[in-house]
Amino acid sequence: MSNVRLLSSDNEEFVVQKEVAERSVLIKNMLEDVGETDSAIPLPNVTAKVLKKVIEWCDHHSSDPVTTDETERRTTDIDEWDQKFMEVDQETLFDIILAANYLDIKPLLDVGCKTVANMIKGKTAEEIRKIFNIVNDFTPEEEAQIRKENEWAEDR
Amino acid sequence: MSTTPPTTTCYRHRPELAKNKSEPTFDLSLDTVSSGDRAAITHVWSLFSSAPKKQRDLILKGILSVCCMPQLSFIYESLQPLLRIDFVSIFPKHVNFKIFGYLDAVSLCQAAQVSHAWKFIADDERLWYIMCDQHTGKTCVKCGWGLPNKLKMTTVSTPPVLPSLYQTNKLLHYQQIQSTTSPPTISTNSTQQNVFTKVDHIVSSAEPSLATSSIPALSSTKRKHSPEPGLLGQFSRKKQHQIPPVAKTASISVHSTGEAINTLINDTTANDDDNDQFLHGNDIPRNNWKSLYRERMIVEQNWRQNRFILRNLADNGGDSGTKNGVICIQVCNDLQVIMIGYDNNLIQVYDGESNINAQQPCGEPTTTMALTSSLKCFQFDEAKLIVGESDHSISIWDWHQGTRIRTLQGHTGAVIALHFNKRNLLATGSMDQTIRLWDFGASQSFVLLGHHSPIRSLLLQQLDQQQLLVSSGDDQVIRIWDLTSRQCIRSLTGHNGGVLKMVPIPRLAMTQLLSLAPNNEHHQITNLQQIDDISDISNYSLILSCSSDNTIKLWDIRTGKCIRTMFGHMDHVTTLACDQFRIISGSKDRTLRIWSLNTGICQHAMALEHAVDTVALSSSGILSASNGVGCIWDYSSKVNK
Repeated sequence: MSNVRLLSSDNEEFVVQKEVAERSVLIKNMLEDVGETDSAIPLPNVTAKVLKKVIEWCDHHSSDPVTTDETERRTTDIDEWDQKFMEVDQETLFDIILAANYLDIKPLLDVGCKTVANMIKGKTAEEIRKIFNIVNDFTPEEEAQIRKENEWAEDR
Repeated sequence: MSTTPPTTTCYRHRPELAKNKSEPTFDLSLDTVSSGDRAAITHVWSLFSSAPKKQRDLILKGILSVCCMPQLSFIYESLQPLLRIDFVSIFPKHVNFKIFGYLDAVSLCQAAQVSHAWKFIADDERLWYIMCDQHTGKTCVKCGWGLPNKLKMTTVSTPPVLPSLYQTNKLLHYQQIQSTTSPPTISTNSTQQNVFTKVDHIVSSAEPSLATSSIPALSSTKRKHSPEPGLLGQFSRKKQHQIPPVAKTASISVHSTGEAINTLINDTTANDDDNDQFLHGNDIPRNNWKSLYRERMIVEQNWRQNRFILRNLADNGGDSGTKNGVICIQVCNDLQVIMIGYDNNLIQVYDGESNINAQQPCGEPTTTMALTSSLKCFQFDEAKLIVGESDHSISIWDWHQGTRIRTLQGHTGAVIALHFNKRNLLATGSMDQTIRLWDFGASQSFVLLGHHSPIRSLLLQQLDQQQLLVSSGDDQVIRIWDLTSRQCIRSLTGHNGGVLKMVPIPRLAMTQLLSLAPNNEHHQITNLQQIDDISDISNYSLILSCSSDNTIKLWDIRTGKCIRTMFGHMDHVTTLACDQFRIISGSKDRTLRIWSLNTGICQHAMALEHAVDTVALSSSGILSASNGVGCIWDYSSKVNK
């Protein structure tokens, strides 16, 4: 099993099994383009801290079958290991999502987005603002108008 | 100084993110310390803030190592709110779209109230298109909600293809029907042709949506041939006008949600660099899919909460004095037509859409047809109306023109049950205890004998390429006939009273009814597990029957098993109607009941003054007739609680 060397934005080097690194479509394509190489692949958009997490995820999921099932993807159920994995502060979580997006690791991006969606689900607008430290930039008139527009959904 | 990676969420290096951050307020506490200390503290701060990342980490490590527990606890507490980030401003559009795509309608509506940036994404038409697609006309697997189809059908609003065709003199000479037993006489209006053949021709050349339009009782035999149920077709038509320009270029496939989502996401990705166009395209019509969803949601909420407006149908000259004399009602959602039979031998046609929530529903008919004897039963499709009458005859009408095309004779008692399908077959049942099959394709008819009572209800069903007829009567037995061999192949027993009416379960609902079964083992629908392999839905046929034994039963035609019995009525259940979500039953006990199709649980019961004679179900209301009084139960309006 050949290994691949990855270089984070803060110049930390990681040695990873090729099949683990190839969970990233970006890296897979790079490897295909470059062929066998000894030099480390630079990933200027990912810090060591985040890259470590991403590698951990890829390692755990290295033997997952590639799923294209849409219905699977539409549900917000997350498996237990992934849930634990995503129990991080928002900065890290968002960095993982951005890294998954950049590295093109679709299942990881899915899990990240589901995690964020689950943070929003069932919350009121005010609760959402609190969770993500969002400033309410509506005028009171706008707010009243928008509340009226959306109140139909409340009544179940 | 090391360069900072562009994707970091650090406020100091992405100053545009800091715009929403509140100004630090701790500066005030500086005033309380001496000036010397103040200088030292600000020096430490400025040293730290001018240090590069690595050195900062080092400084922090040093500080942390000299902190004692209460200070560490202070840091921990202070970190929580600081680490909250409005991700909408840092994520690319397609990632935000993906996240919001996982939300349900309620959460999306809350998200729209958070801030301008959030509202922009949460109101996105593409998200709501997917919402509509997941919920309308079917039960969403995620949330268990399904919304009724929209009543309005845009294509059929330019109505009859038929009349013009009737006026042409291209006559198809009707061949004498061959009867195997007693030859029935057929009186044909001289200039009329075989309606069945004609109609089929029209249907095949028309749009698929037209072909699928049916009265509810016909749906199961036809759905099979339609590529998609009415709603999506309607959506696709609507979409051409309403989808925002950005989405239009994505050429969304209406046939597959999955594809649609993919296309949508790819589309967003493609447009990601073009934020300006995406953000500032002022001509983008907003909120169409959302408002459609909203409208449908309100109807469904009304159904669930049983909020309705009850109106009497207009008095159109029935014989019953103050009553409006309604004895028979049928509704076709797809065609937008309500047909009402009165006790003065009139059948009148109404425009469905404008009448459901009109103040004075069913006031002005579009067509009136006068029968020669009293009306016993009828059924219509987009071209024809077939009526069973008390004078033993069956009349076929062009209801657009209001003209009688033909009369079929043969029965020796009043014709009280009939059912026709798209395959040129008509089954009629009579007080004379016989069933007659009229095959207009093969120009022949025959009689089925076996029931020992008047025939109350008939259903033509297609199963495994086999053309079946299901019949029931006062003799308590439901019989299944194979129309090729003309033999009764199965008798369903279980009812302890006359079986007064049967309706088929819509094919779309059957899929969900069957697929629900294995997952909900502890639910009330467990009996459905008797149906083992549901891989091929076309092999299944479920029907509902109601009986004078006060029950409603759900049957699997294939096995002949009763898979559910619904109790609740206190007297004869005389009438039934069913759509993808609910069953409506009317009884001699003077109540109308609404049942959940999926669980079989009675959700609501409404009391009337008299026994219920007939019910019809439209997506936004119930029409009922009770002792000659026709009513409309309108669930489509926003009712104040």
